[in-house]
Amino acid sequence: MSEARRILWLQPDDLYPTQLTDDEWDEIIYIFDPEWLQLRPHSLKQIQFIVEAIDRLPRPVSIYRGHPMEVLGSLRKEASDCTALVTPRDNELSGYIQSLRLNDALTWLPPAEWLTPPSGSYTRFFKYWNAVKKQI
Amino acid sequence: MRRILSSFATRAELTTHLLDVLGEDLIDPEGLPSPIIGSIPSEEALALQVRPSDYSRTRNFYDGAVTRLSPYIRHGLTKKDAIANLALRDYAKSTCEKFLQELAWGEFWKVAVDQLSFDLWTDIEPYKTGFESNDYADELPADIAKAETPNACINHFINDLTDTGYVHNHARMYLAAYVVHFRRVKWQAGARWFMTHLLDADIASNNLSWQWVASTFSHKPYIFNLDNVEKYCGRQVNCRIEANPELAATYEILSQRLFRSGS
Repeated sequence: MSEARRILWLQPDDLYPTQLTDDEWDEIIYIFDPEWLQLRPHSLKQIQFIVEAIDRLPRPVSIYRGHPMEVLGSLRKEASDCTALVTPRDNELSGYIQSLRLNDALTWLPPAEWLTPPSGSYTRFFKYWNAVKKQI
Repeated sequence: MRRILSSFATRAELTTHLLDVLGEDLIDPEGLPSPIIGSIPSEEALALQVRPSDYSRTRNFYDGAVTRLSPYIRHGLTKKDAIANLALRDYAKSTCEKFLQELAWGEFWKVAVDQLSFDLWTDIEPYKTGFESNDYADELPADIAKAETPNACINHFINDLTDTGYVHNHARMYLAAYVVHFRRVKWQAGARWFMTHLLDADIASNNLSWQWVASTFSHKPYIFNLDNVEKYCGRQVNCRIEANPELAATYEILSQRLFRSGS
């Protein structure tokens, strides 16, 4: 039996996560999911910007159009293979991926964070700014 | 399932390939790519773009010293901590304050969304315009989508959006205020429109900014007049009164015209 393969599934919110180069991956992928593109319409400008950026990453990335379940299923050779993704900042995208019920096969990595969210509720910017500016 | 290729000799070949594989999924299967190319900004490029001192003086001007890095930040191709550190390496913290605040706005919107736990497409508060939500149209008017409004400056900013996927922040506010207040269209219609075109489209920043302009996430509606556009964009954009008939008025007159009972 072969060793478990590790797949990194890039998300639009972080095409160049630190994990891309810090960790070892057997394959790095990006998926254009037609169902997500129906829910969140995109223009050619947005798609081409993403593909051009992916092409310039320091690791080769395989790009697919298809349903994530189909794409990930085609890449999985063993039951122990695992796919990791950096949790998107986009709440709707995170919710959509969770709704795909791929969770058993997915490892959610923490997103890059510049400012740690302060405790408390913030509905106006300058109250938030006063709470976080000491972090900078 | 289809494999998408990314390496071609020319951008035009990549465009043709993307339209072949993804055309049916896009809003503009006859569209053109942005002149802004997806890439990883080098340190040298960042250093040229990050000018906090100039930024704090000129950021509201159409040709001001804004970084235009938002598409790259949005997609994680450069990180905010690296940009902040670059600014603080060369400038005093007090000089960087406005610049750092601008970087922090996106973080604030995300925190607000997470903490308030509301649906991203729902009014957070009532409009403070004297109107109810159902007084606003559901759909973006065709003349706005086509950049054929009666106002040359608004059409200029719409063309920025649809041709390049990038709009100066001040012009975004003008567009949002025009859509919601001058044309009385629901902010959601404008937010959806921006989300399909902006290279830096971020759902939290985008939708809450629209709500801020609309007044459903702020104390009062944001509006502008032609004098304001002329002050900040007059060297690049047609601000002649006869070419911008809906915008040429004082704030007092506009408030009476646009809002119920002078909100």
